[in-house]
Amino acid sequence: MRDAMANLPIPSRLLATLVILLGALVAPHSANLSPMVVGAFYCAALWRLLALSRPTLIPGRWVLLLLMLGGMATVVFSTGIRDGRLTGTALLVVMVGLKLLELKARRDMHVTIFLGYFLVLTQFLYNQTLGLAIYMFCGVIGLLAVQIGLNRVHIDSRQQLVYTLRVAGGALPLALVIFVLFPRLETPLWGINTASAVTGISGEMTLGNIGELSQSDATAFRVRFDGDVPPPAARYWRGPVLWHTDGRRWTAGRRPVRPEQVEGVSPNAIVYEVTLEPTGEYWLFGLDIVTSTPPSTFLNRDFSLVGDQRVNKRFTYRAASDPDYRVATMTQGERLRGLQLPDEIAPRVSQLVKQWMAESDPDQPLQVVEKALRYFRQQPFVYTLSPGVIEGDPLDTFLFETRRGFCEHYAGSFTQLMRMAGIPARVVVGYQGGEKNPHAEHWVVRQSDAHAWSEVWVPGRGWWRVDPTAAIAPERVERSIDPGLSQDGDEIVFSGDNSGLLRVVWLNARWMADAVDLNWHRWVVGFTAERQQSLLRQYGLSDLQGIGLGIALLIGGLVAVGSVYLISKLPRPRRGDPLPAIWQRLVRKLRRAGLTVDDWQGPDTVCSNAIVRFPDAADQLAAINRMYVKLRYGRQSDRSLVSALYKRVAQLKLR
Amino acid sequence: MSNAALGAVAPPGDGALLRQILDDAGRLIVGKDHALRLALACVLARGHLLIEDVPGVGKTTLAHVMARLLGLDFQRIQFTADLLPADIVGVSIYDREEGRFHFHPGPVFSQLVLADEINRATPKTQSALLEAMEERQVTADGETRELPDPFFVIATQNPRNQIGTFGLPESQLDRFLMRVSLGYPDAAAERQLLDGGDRRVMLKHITPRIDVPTLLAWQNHVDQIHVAPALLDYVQALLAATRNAPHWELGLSPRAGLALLRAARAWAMIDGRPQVVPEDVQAVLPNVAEHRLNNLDPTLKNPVQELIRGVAVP
Repeated sequence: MRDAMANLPIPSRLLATLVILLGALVAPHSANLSPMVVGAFYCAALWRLLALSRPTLIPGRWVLLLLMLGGMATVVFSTGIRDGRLTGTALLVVMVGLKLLELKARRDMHVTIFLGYFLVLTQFLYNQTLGLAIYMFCGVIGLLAVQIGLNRVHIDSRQQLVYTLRVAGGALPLALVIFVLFPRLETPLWGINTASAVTGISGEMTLGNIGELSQSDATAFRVRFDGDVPPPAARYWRGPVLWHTDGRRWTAGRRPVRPEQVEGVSPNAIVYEVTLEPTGEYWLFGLDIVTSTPPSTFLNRDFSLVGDQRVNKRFTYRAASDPDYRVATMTQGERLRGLQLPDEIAPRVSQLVKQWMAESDPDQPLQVVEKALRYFRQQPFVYTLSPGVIEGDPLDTFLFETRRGFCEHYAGSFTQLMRMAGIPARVVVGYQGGEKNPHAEHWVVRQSDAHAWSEVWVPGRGWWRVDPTAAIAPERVERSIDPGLSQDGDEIVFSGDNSGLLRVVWLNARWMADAVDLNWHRWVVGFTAERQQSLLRQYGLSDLQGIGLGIALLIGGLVAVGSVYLISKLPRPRRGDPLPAIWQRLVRKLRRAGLTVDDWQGPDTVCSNAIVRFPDAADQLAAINRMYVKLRYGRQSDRSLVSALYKRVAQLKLR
Repeated sequence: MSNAALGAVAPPGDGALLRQILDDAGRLIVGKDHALRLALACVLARGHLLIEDVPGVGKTTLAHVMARLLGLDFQRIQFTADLLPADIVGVSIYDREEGRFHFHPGPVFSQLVLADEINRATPKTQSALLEAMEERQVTADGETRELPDPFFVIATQNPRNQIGTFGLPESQLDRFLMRVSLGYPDAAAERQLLDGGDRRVMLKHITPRIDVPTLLAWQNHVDQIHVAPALLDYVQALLAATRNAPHWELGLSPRAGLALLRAARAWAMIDGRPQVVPEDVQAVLPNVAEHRLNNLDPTLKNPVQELIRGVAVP
């Protein structure tokens, strides 16, 4: 059978389908590969399509050899050979194009189809979004359909589609078992990374950079809380801690030393799971203060959470936080760093601080804090995204002249003022707030939630969070900024007033897309070894690894294949006989119109009863009866009559 | 089996001719159209008919009418307690001139035999007729003789509870394709009957509508009526239902199933249809099934109708 098929000519319909299909499968690569490579493929594909009607266009052996050398050269010159992944993909794409040109026998078709499957695989080295997965799934169905068409001589396209969907459906349970149980590689193959990291919080704070971030509504991370959700005012997501300032710029300074070991975690710690969008940085975000760290991360002494590698792809981790945890001791190095000041300080500023110090008890540093906050509150400070350019000494200009600023202005100047008063202080950047997805169980923290605040050292109580922005704009802590409405105006618009139908629809759609996106990541892309283990643990299969996992995989696979086989053996209604369905449709219609129709009544009885009841439709009903009886009980088996009957039943109107 | 062949045995005028036969019969046997139709279907299906009823409702007249209209030669055998098998089959008598036995065929050698009050005869005599019905041949003095074709028996029977009768056993009842009851006519029909002329005189005036070759062709045509797989499904479902029902001693046999199909085919032909539809089966089922089934539950008024209502049409 196989040998007999091997010599049959390839139907040009199938070949054309395959070429177009491969073209569609290569298309997303135009974002990853150089235009020369993708262009070379499309030239070859087009050539093959043209050659379908004019076989003389198919290149000979020598031309093919030249083309192959040309293709290799294209790959090397456009991609180089430094990135194995890029070069490999480019080579595959070009070679699939050339394979189309030398395709002669059915065997070549099979080879090309399998190259097509491989092509699908390479797409996921660059991008793992749900959209691409759906697109590629359609592509795989298409390849399967071509494969089935190739193996069946007499098949119409409807049957071909039905077979394809049946084969794909039958494979689905096995695919699911393999997906869940196949041992996961701890590090992704070839170090997959996503297209680009979203611009987020960076390791330094200059005046204006967080304000810029606040105009972006891109997602920073998503959070699912295990238990109760902390109130908005407690949702400070701690990022990097900045110690060093030159008056304009805040940086982390020397790399902080000695990872922190947390002792005595409170039992009412908040447990949550963060799915962080790629940042390209080391640090992670956790609720202030993280007390239990996820694997392969550690806490610095200043309680900033860092991973052991850059977050270049979406990263999901679980952490626990205790808002009341305090560290009672401070090293000498920390004290020095917490009191560091820029080289030059304007006299007006020194004067102000000296005045505050004179007015308060030196043993009560919180009194100075209070004075500074009162100053921000009482003087005409404005919380704005467009503070204008600050020239000269930033602190002096901001405090006494412009008095317009964003959180980094307030946090930065406040921290410096505290240091001048002899109180160790530092800046923490991160996010504040978050919004719950109304269609899902998770919260979304956006770039527009980026925030900066201060921490001051209070002897006996430890580092103490002070948010000077809250002194100027308390609503910032309660509500998020609406970046869409805040962009041009001077005043910041806080979200919460969502009126207008279009806007509501748009917001809802965005939230739903957000929920789909997170679940796709949680259950598919982010299904790591860790998640696999926690899923297995839920079903009492803890510590299933190595050989145990292999055996489970084998058993699961057998069960999946066996059940598909058994289902396929179940008796099915006689295929290719649509008449009972059409009759049932008529019966439903008659019943809806109020006629009593019993199952034991034959078509003649039913139709004559119906004619008595609905005399207006007598002709229609008589015709339907005639056709149905002819088809169901007569010798007639004309397909066109079946569709005519179907149409008549569909168009039947009963009053 | 081609359609052209069908056209040859069943010319287009048949429907009208069949209706005429029924109309003529209806003029004598007033208000019994359904029973007449069943009787005609029985003839067309090459089956024998059992008419069970009280005396005087027209059983004998029905047999006479059928014979006259279909142009069949007709013999009547009045069954009595002293009737002997030879009275039906015939006897061999020694012919002195020729010097050998000569067979004198009995009344069974005719195309339509009316076996009047069959349950009055002894079982031995009954079985002589019933054997002839099944084999369509009789054996007398070691010699087998073919019965004429067509051969059609109409037996009448008084209900069993009358005195001096021998009820037919189930195996014998199975030989009859259908059992029909005429019943008393309704008021209007009875009035027409009382008002009309003498039936015996009227019978004499009936002229045959068809001849024997036409009847044979029609009988052949019945076999050509199409039975679709879906209809076979239906018949099988009905048979299975009789076998599963608790109120019948025994379900319908495969022979009964074949009989049902033949009767339904003939019914479809009378309706002028080239195929059997479920309604045909439903129309003949009571008369084909009732005498073969022994109802054990006296509370059920109409068990066969219940059966029909219990089986979905596929």
